[in-house]
Amino acid sequence: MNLFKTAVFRPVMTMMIFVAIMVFGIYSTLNLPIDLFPEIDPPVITVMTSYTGASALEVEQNVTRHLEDQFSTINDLEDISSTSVENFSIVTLEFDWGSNLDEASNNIRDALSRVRDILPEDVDEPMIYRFSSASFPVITLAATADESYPGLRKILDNEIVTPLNRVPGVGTVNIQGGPTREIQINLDPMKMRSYALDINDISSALRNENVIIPAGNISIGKEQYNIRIDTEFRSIEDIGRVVVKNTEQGGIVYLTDIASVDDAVDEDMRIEMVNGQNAITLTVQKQNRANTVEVARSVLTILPELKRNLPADVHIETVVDTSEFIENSISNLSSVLLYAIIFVVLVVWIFLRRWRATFIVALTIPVSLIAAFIYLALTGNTLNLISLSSLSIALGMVVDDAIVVLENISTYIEKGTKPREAALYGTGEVGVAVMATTLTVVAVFFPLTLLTGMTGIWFGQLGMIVVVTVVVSTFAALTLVPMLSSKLLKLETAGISRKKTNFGRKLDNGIENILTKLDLKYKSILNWALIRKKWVVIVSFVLFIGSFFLIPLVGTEFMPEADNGRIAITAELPTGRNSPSAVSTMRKIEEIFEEEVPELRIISSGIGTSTGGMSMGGGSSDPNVIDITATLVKVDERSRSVFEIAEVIRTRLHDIPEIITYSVGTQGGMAGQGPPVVIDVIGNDLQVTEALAMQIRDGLALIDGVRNADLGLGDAQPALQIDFDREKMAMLGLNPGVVGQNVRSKIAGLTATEFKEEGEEFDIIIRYDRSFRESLEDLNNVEILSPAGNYIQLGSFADIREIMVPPTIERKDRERNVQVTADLLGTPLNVVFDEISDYIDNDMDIPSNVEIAFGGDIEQQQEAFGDLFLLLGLSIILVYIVMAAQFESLKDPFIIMFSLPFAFTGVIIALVLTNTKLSVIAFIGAIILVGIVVKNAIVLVDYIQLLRGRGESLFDAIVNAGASRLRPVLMTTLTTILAMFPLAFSTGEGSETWQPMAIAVLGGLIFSTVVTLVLVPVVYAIFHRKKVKKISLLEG
Amino acid sequence: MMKAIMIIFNQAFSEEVLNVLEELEIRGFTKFNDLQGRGTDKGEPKMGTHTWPALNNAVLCFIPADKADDLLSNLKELNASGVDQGLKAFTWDAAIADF
Repeated sequence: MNLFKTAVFRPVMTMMIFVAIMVFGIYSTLNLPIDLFPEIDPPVITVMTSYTGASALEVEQNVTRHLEDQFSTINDLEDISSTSVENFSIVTLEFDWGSNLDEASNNIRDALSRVRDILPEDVDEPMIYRFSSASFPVITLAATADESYPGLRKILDNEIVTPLNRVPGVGTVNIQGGPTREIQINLDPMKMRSYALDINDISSALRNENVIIPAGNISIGKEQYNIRIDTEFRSIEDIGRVVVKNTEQGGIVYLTDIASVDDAVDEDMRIEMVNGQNAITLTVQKQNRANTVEVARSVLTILPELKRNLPADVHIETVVDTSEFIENSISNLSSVLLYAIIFVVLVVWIFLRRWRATFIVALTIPVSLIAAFIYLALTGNTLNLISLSSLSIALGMVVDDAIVVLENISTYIEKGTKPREAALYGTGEVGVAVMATTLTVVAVFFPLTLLTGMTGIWFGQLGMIVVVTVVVSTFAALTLVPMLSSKLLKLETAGISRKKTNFGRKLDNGIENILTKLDLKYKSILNWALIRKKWVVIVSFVLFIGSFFLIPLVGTEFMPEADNGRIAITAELPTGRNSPSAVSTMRKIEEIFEEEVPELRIISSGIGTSTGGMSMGGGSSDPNVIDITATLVKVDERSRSVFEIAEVIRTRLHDIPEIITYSVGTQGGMAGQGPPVVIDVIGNDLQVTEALAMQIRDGLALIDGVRNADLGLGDAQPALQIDFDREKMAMLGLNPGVVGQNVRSKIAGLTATEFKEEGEEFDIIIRYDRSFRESLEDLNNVEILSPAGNYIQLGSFADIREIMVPPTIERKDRERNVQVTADLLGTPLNVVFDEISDYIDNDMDIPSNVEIAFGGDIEQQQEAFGDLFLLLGLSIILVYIVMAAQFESLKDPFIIMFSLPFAFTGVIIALVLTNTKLSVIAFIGAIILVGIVVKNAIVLVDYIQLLRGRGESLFDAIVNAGASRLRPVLMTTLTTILAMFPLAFSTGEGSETWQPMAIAVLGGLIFSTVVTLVLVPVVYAIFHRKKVKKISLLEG
Repeated sequence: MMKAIMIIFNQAFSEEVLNVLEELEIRGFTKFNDLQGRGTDKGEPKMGTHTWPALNNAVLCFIPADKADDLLSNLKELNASGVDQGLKAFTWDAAIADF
């Protein structure tokens, strides 16, 4: 007994299977969390090492290089790149996708323990960061205040951060900006000399005075006593009263005698402003497995409660709420899906004009979609942009099988067969074709799940969801549809056509007339074409070749840009400035927004090194770079796109004189997206590479549509270099290590110990008073205590000269690298790539020791397109294999495949007409077309075979099969097209991402269907003209 | 006098044919399922294949002559309800073997 027979004869069992699927599916759906993207765990590990007071060059030489050397031997390592900036070394290790990151982390830890001895002493313990989607802040809050501002950081810490940390799912809450308290001990070098003290003496005195020592316990009688020594500082005054020296004359030197003790704030603090007010920003990160939307929701619900505990002048605003974008995108896509369902049902109704038949077909939609939800729930996935879009793509395909089956059953019923037999025979006739079409779809979509890397995450889920839904829909088409047809469908005799209204009948007849005319028209076209086979083939061939000439008009890009309503600006001020002096510039930029951008919702600016730890994507690290995030209102509430607004801002920023360079970016929504154009100039001589990079930058800037062309290097920063006279030093018994340390303590400061108050710890920092470290002369006068006990001025054995050092040093695969980056406005990536390669090859002279490499989207696109071409080839081969096996023929699949080239012609035409760029997304559209367009030809050819098997002549079989299959072919095509339609033309949030795919599929499908309907029968006739196949009655 | 009646019909008529037998209280019959065959003149082949998905069933029964007329008239009526489906009956004389 075959599948559909069982189903028809056991209706209850069939029903129950689907009820079970629905129940399980609804349960899964209710528990499905939503998110923007599937869990992305890029195999990237970052090692961050802080080396306070060191310039980029020292960081590179003393820290980064050693780390890189050790790391380079780690298994599975694909790329190693690093950035050395003032105070920080950031080494980024990229592993192969799919490698075990826990193991990698352990290997990194081993490497770190080996390298620890080589690193300078002051280097803090390197920190290992595993990059994941959880690294992005879920919510960014900004707190502004007037009179409470000085103590705001602490208030927030207690009233907001601590409670928020208790919210389930919240990972870390970082505070940025605002003053941090520290206890400063400002030394007076004159007094130090008069008491013969050095900075280390003071440091150790402070350390020894601020102790808690458990000294064991003793038993007195029956009692046991702990012995405790506790001399911790209770107040700031305590610190001042520390005795730093007993003089030989018996005097006592207190700390206050040689230094001032200030309860102050960190000098290099980061300044944050939100909507023009001084602010402190809080970024909330989620725990690794937590759900973004849930975390954001619970944080936002608890927030009003927490606000009540704050002083009245403190205001808290939400700067970025990623859950909002997610929810809007998801709801936008849900309505896209809904429209698609409505369209599909409408098409089915128009063609069948029977509510019961329409109901049966429509029923396969929830069944198959719900199967996808079960799959998502079972694999621990979320309902995200990709899964929802996949559903929308699958939607047009899930009804196809049901339509083909039901249409055939209806034909049988109209011939007078009783419903049950009609269901059996109707299904039996097209069962092979239905299986074949499904297998071709699976053959195309399944390989998508084999993709790795970023594209794998995106399209793996798409592939799996389409496979699951389509397989389930075929199962439904072969069981549920015949079973329901046998129960619900009845023969409608023309005369007693039920109690239809007059209008209903007219509509019915009207549509039927149109469809009948269409059938006849198509029949006559087929007749006409079969006589002029040669011409049809020639015209088709010319069309296909002709479309090649359109290819140069198609631009490429990696991923379509999405309007996420966020503008990120970085503006560089002249080097050497301190943070507070930038506030006026920040105000100016904010004023531009006030004047030009009424769509602005919130703007937050910051400058200076962030103090709350380095959170991903937050805060610049240079004291002279302003970073600004502006959030706009929702897409449907404004008429200008974020790209247009960014362009306006760019022209206005040009007018601010103190800004040296600036960039206005519109990305950041999509995980891991950097600037589209990245060109690496790799070579060890920074001067040479920098000059070349500048040339490339200038070349890039000349290309139309290139924005924000910039060097990753930044402008050189002034520095004072101390050159020692080694002979003099040796005679004084000094060495550069000791002296360097000493100078560092006096200028950068030495954290001696900590002061505890109300459970919080504040650093106690000793250094020269500001007035003794303000000029070159002051530096010359820094006094070093020699082993002989003499005070020697630094200037007497060292020369101090001003030099310029690069503020950042980037390295790629252990070689120095200057990066040129740029954003694009409208210009396709391939055009920019061609022009700049041309420029580099012809107008520049690249020395042999310098290598130029393309990174960013260019590299990713080239890699992805290479993969996708392979995938396309694989899909075509797989589709052929599946069809050949199904049809037991080598020739027929070949005929069917004649519909393929025109799908690509259609894609090219659609992309050119809509001015859409060929991105990875559009490319995937072209690949899935392979599975979709052959479906029509399969249905057609299969029926031609069937009719020939029934003894019709070749000509008749082709014409009659065409006439008989026209309606199902049109229906399945129209449902697929209309299901894609909302995806292609939706304008809501996040809609840009899938648009290119929908456009590609629409173009390809429409064009290839039109061609398939004429060309495939003609090609069939050509291939089968010679021998008349002998068909045994018993043959399948 | 006994008559042998062989009814060969499209499976679609299965229930109806059995109903007719039931109505006439014909208990003795043999039914053959899933038979391949081809109509005499204009009928479609019933091969149970992809090309010709339909199949025939057949009923062979031996009944008294008077009942046979009722049966045949009922079958004629049934055939009229769907001429394209295919239903044919053949009769010949028969006798119950003595042993």
